[in-house]
Amino acid sequence: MTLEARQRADDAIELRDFVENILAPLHWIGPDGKILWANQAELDLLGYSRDEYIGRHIWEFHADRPVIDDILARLRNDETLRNYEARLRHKDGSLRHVLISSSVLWRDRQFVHTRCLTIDVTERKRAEDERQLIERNLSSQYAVTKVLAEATTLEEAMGRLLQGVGKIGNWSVGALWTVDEAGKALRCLNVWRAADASLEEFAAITREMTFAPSVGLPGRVWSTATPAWIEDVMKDPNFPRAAYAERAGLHGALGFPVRIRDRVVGVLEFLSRDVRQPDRNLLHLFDAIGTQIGQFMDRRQADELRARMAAIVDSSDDAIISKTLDGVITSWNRGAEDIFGYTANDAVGQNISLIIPADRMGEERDVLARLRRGEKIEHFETERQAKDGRRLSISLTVSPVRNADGRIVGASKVARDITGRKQAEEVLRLSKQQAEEAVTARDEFLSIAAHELRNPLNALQLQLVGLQRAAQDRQDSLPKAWVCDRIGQATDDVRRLVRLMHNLLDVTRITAGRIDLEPEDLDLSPIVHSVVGRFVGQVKDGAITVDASPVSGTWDRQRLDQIVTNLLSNAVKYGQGRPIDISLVHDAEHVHLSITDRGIGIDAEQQKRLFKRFERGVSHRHYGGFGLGLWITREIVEAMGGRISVESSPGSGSTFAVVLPRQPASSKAAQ
Amino acid sequence: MSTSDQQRSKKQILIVEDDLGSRLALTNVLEDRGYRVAGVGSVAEAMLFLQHQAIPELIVLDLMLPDMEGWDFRHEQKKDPRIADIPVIAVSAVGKLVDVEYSFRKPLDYDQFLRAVEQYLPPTRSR
Repeated sequence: MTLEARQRADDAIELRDFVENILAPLHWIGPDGKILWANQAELDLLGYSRDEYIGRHIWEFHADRPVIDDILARLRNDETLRNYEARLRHKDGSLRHVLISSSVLWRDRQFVHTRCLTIDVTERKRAEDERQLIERNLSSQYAVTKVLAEATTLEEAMGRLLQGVGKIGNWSVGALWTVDEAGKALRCLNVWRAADASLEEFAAITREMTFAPSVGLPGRVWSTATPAWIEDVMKDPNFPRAAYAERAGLHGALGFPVRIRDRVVGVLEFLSRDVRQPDRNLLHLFDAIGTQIGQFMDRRQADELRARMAAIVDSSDDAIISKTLDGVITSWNRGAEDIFGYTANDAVGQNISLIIPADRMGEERDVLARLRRGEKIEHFETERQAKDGRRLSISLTVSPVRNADGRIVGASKVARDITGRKQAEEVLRLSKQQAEEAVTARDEFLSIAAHELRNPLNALQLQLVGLQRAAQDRQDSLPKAWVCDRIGQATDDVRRLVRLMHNLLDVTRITAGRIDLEPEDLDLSPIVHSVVGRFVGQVKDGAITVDASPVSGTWDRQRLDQIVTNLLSNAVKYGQGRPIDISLVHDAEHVHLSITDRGIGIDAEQQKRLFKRFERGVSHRHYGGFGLGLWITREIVEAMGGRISVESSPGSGSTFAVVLPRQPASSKAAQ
Repeated sequence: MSTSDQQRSKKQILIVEDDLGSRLALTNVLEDRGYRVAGVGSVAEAMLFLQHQAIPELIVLDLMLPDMEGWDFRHEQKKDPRIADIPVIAVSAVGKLVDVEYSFRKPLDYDQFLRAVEQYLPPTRSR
C-alpha cells in the first residue's frame, strides 16, 4: 500500500467515522423509499436498532403520510429541501418534531439515494407550542373578560364569548348550556360555529337539544361537575349527536362546568375537527372561563333580581321606606312621594319624624324599640302627616333590616294610605246611621200621625154621636140653628183631618224630593186675610191684627196659603190667647212676611231644631200638627227660593219671618 | 132652655183641653146632659180659673197640654187644699193617668164617658 494509498485509506476511515458518529442524524433513502443507511444519531433519535431501521420504508416512521409522500415527490423532482417540518414516530410511540434537509445523489441521471439530515426540534417545538398556547389562552381569557365586562345581556355576552374563545382556540363549534328553571334539564342558550356552512346542521341540532343529567357530553359534565374530554366523539358511546358530528367532520370535544359558587348552572362545550389530546393548560383556561361566566351569570341574576325588586318597589302605590335605627330615612319610593308629598330628594337623609304628627311621636319610639328586639310590626293602623299638613290614616308594616352579619341595622316600612278606606267606612257608617234614623223617624212619624189623628176623630165622633142621641131623645124637632152649629163644628173637625192628611202627603213628597209648585201671578195680601178669617172662631175678636198692603208676585197659591196657615196656627196654639201681629212688607224683589205672638216662646236650644223633621219646641210628647208644620213650611219656602227664620225668647213670644222672592229664579220656576 | 135657678142647681164641670175641636165636642156632650161647662186650653188658664172664678165639681183633663203635662196639673191641684179633692177624669191621645179612677183614650166612647161623669155627678135631667 502506498503512502498515498494509506493516506487515502486513513482519510476514508476517518470520514466514515465522522458520518457514523457525528451527533447529527443522517440517513439515505433509496429510490423505492427504503432506508439504505442511517447513522447512530439517527437511530438514537427514534430509538431503533440498525436492524429494525435499515431496509424499512421511510414512511413507516412518519406520523403524517402526506408529508413524507410530498418530501419524496419533491426529491425525485430534484428539489433540495431545507428544514422541511415533519413528525416522526419514536419506537416508544411518542412523536418527534423534526426539520428535514435533503437532496439526492444522482448518477447517470439515476436516483441513487438521498442525503438526509434530520434535526430534532421536539423540545424547541414543545416550548414554542407552549408559548403559543399560553399566548392563546391569555388572549382567550382577555377576550372573555372583555366580553363579559362590555356585554349588557347574557345572550349577547355568551354569543361573543363563544365566538372569541372558539376562534382563538381554533374550535369549530361552541355551545353554552344552562340548567333550566326546574333544574331537570340542560337547554342550549347559545351556539357559535366557525364560518363553514357544513357545520350548520350540527349547530342547528345543538340549538334544539336538551340533555338530561349524565346524557351526552353536557349532561356528563353537569352530573359530575368536572370537565370532560372526548378525543374523538365518533368513538364515544355517550354522544347522541354523533351522526351529525360525523357529517360535520367533528372529532375532538371539551365540556366544562359553569359554576355559581358550588352549583353547576351551565356547561360550556367546544368541538374541533381534529382529534385533540387533553391539555392541562386548556383545562386551566376553561376552569377560569367557567368561573368567570358563573360570576357573570350570578351578577346578572343579582342585577335582574335587584332590578325586578326595584321595579316592584317603584311601581307600588304603597309607600316603601327604609330608615336607620336612629330614624334617618335611607330610601323613599314613588308611592311615598305620592302619599306624603315629599320627593325622595326632600326625604332621604331626614328623620322619619318628618311625617309623624307630634302626638304620635311616642308611638315611633315604641316601634323602634320593638324593631331593635327583631320584632316585625304588621298592619299597625296609625296616622301620619303629609307635606301639606293633611293627616292621613295609615296601615304600617315595619320589618327589621339585618346586615350580612345578621345584626339589625335599620327598618323597612310599608305604609298604606287607608284614609280613603277610613273615609268610606265613615260614609258607610253615617249612611247606615242615617238609614236607621230614617226608619226610626218613619216609625215615630207613623205613631205621631196616628195619635194626632185622634183629636179631630175624637171630636168628630163625639159630635156625631151627640147629634144622633139628640135626634133619638127629642120628641119634637131639633132647633135648626142648633143643628147647623153642631154640623158646622163637625165640619171643622173634618177640615182638620183633611189638613193632617195633606201634611202627611207633603211629608211623603218632600221626602221623595219633589214639591210641585204651580206659580201664577197673584196678590199675597188677600191670601193672608183669607187665612186669618179661618181662625176667627178660635181666637178672641181683634186678637189678630194684619198690616198688609197689596203685593204682587208669581207664586203657588196653595203653598202660600199653607205657609201662612201653618205659621198662624202655631201662633194661635202657643200664643196663650194673646194678640198676634201679622205684617207684610215688600221691596222690588222680595216680600217679607212676619207673624208675631206673645205666647210661651221657644228657648235657644229648641230654636236650633225647630225646622227639622219631627222636632218640636214644646215638649217631647206634644206634637202639634205632627211636629212637621215648621219643617214642611221651611221646605216649601226654600223650594220657592226663600228662607224662614225665627226670633224668640221663652215667656215673651216668637216671631217667624219668611222672605220670598217675588219672581221665581228662572231655573226654579219649573221645579 | 134653662132658668137661673136651674143654672145654679146645675153641677159645674171644668174641661182642660188644648184641642179646640175636642173641647167643643166635650162641652156639647156634657151640656146636652144638663151640666154647666167651662173650658180652658192650658194648665195656666185652668189654675187661673180655679183660683179666681169657680170651684167645679169635676174636672175633665187632657193629658197633653201646651205648657204642662196633665200630671203636672194634678201635682198643682193636690198642693191646693181647696181644689185637691175635685175628682178628675183623664182623657188622652196617649198614655193614662194612674191616680184617677177614669182615664180614657181618644177617641172617647160617648156612653162610657158619660157613665163615668155620672158616677161623680148624677145627671140633672133638665129635659
